[in-house]
Amino acid sequence: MLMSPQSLNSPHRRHFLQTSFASMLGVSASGWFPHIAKAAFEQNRLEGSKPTKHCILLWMSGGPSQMDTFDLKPSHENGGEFKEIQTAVPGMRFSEHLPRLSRFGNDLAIIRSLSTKEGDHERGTQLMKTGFPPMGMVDYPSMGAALSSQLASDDVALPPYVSISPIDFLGRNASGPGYLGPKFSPLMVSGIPGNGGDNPTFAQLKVDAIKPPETVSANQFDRRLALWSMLQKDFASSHPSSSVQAHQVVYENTLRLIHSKEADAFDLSKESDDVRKKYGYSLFGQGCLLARRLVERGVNFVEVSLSNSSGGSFGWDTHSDNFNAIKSLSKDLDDGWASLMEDLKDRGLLESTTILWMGEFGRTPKINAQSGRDHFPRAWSCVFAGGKIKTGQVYGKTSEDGMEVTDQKTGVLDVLATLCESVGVSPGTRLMSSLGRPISIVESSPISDLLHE
Amino acid sequence: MPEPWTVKIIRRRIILASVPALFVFWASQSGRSDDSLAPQPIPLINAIPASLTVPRQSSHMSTRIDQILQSHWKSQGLTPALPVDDEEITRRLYLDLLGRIPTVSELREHRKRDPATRRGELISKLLVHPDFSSHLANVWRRALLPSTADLTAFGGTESFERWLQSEFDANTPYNEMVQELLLSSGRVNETGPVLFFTALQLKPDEIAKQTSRAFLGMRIDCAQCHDHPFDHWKQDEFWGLAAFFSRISKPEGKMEMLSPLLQVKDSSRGDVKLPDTETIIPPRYLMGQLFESPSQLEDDQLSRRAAFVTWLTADNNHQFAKATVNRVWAHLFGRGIVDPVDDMGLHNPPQIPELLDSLAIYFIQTNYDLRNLIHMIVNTKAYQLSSRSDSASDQQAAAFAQMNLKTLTAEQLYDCISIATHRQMSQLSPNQMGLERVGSNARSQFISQFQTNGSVVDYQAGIPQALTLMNGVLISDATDLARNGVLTSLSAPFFTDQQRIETLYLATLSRMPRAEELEAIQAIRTQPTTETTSKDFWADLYWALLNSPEFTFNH
Repeated sequence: MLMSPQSLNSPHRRHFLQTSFASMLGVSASGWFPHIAKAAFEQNRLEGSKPTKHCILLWMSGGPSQMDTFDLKPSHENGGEFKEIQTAVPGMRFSEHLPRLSRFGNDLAIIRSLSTKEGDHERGTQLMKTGFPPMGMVDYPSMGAALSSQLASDDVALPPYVSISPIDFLGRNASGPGYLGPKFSPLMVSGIPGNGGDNPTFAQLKVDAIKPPETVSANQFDRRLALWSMLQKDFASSHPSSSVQAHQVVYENTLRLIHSKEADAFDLSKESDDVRKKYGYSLFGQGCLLARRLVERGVNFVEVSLSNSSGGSFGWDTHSDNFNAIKSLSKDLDDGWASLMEDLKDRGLLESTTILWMGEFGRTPKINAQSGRDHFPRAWSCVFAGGKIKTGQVYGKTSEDGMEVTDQKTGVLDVLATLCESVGVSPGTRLMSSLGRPISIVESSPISDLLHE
Repeated sequence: MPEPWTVKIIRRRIILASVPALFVFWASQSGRSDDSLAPQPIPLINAIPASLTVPRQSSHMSTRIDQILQSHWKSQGLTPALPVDDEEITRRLYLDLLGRIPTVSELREHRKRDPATRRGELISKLLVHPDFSSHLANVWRRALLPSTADLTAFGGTESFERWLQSEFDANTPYNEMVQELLLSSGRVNETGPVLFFTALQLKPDEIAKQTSRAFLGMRIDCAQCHDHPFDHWKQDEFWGLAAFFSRISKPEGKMEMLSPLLQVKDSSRGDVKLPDTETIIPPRYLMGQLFESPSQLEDDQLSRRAAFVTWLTADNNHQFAKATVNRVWAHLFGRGIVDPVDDMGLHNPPQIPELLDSLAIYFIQTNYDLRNLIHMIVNTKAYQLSSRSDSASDQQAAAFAQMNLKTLTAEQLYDCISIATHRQMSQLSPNQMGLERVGSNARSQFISQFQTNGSVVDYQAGIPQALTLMNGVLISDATDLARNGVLTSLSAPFFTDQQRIETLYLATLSRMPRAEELEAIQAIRTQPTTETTSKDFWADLYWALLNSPEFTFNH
């Protein structure tokens, strides 16, 4: 089966700008904005809809320590100083610093047997986000781009793929669209960290350019669109090619977004302070809240990065002072993720939303001389929730010292194929690459033990 | 006097001349699935019949190209589009040759000249403009290095582009440039041609893939792991080509992290093996002949890659010339005579074989002179056809009977916005200095957001890019009254509204507004609005022009 990415710009849509020059001049300038945006929206509404599926990738930048989160070894010297706490699921125990999340044992599936081969930040990130190690000439799309290209619906005003507060200090972040092209690149949300101290402030998240600059009034923007429409129509009539139509559709959809109330999703001040506090003051916490708001409004793939904690740690790259750093990272993780679980469950959205928690690799079981842990791809953990995932289980096992996978060894492709299946996209779906040959999204089968029929 | 091994190679070339006959045989058998019907000669190093001759003189050759196209259109029942007008061809030439639109003063200067001769004069002028070399360097860098190439630790892709720019400045014959590139040596972090090997991490298989794509226009990648299922490549042919690059010094252990101290140089040992086997594959040209090592001579000059380069760039390796002219054609027309340009082969024959062959012979005859080739092509009537059409059908443009609409590349779009909004004005004063294309942070950020690797015939941007163009800092600064020199100067009282509109049109669309446009704009201008002032109106028009499809496409 060969599928092309869902066209966001299907060129055969009826064109709403069929007004003649003269009749166009009859429309008052102030009518242009709603006119264009509404036409685009109504047109999209007419073209069938399908049940929306979502995915939230909780990306742990730097490589999170499995030994101090979801695969503790308290009886071994490698275990370190954290204690375990029990969840509702027998055998599923978390770090004591994830107390709220531990209440969701029945809604989580822990994979403790992940084993990969890339121990460098950039290469590991590329591997985990695309399923392919960096090599050769193919610029592979991230799972975010690949899945959203398949899941996107014209019904939704917001773009299908949003990446929240990624920080590139560890090399190129591999969230891009690769050979699928810029149309499938994520809408980037940048952030300013919050402060959880005595005078707490929430982290701020914003999308550059989602609204016209403040110096441009609504009337003025309308006048711009009146002029733009005139130029657009004129050129499209003498150059009726598919590329000009694609340009038009992208502009219409963008105007629809600017004009839509869905764009309010990015304004977290619309949530009560209590809700915002529940998620924590951190970038990650507020990012999880934003992810919930985006999923509610139909966004298909949201990536939220935890790359610095409100306690000041810089990502999960804990080569030194591992335990203090992870304590503080865990606080942000626990507040954000547990609140996200609560809210998605309350809203009945967890069935249609798959959550995947992972980083680029795990960390050495052995604690180094700086009380740190180093890069370790051989045996580590990731976590699933929601979607079609069979939760309430621990899959796979590591040895007592944490050095080896002893049961149900799992590779990156198994994890990503499971992710695809959980959101209802066949992992074997083939996308046309820039090399002119079709490439499967993931060349592997999902882990059946982790999925409901 | 030729070295003995050169003679051998030449002898092989003679064998190649008989290939078309074999090709006919193969083609007649190709419907059959029985592999044992061998021989299966691979005619992709397809020699052009010696009977094909072309004019040596550029203007005569342009006429020949037009004749070939006209008879093709006739046979297809196509009527070519009308010729472009002077304003459109001027913009098109600037975009294709310099990668940017003309400035208002360049346009005004051009309009003063004699209409009978100014087009030809403009072409000659642009071909020696500094922006020509830097634009071509960018176009060829994308062709030569894989899009995944990461040279950050070695001086960046800009450093490679600078080398290309100097080659284009000097108008080095293309075959010599390729020889220089493929025979380069030195530290992996040196600027210049050696970065080609650095980008491919000195891996023989990667070099083989990229070399065949870039210089022969052929994809042999799939044969890396298995015999090609529907093309003609066999796995040992892939590795046979890779073997030519197996004797470039190799680091021990992991290749992923190249040490900057590593040297690209030939060594006397090193082999490639068939994956998952111990079978050593000897070097073998893509035609199937084994390269016979001049075994007695252990001289660096006689390295495997030197032998390959000699074979690649030999005058009678017509595939090298074909792949190159096809790339140049695609650059100017938006799509190749074989398209995609790196997928030539039996499975994807040229649309107009005579056109491709004639261009290739001309290119060889003119000593691989790229500037001459481009000059000749832009002088054809075909290049100077309009892109306008009544129908949305692709048929005309696909057969070059109408100019393809080309989406501006990320680099072109950024440079055009810079020119249109006078961000780069100072560098373009009368002394004709070029645009500074490398080393700008804002530019590389913009490019990474808008970068595509597909065909320019498609529009590939999406909502994130459109938001940047509508509301982003680049455009909002440019259309900010206080910051933009053009807008400030337009507010001078001695300008009429018409002059203001004309200036903005020239700055962005490189043309004068038509009467009905002036009328429509004035109508919008005079509509009552509550808060906006008349000065804002010029910023609004500027914004609309910069976001218009006419600005976004090369037409």
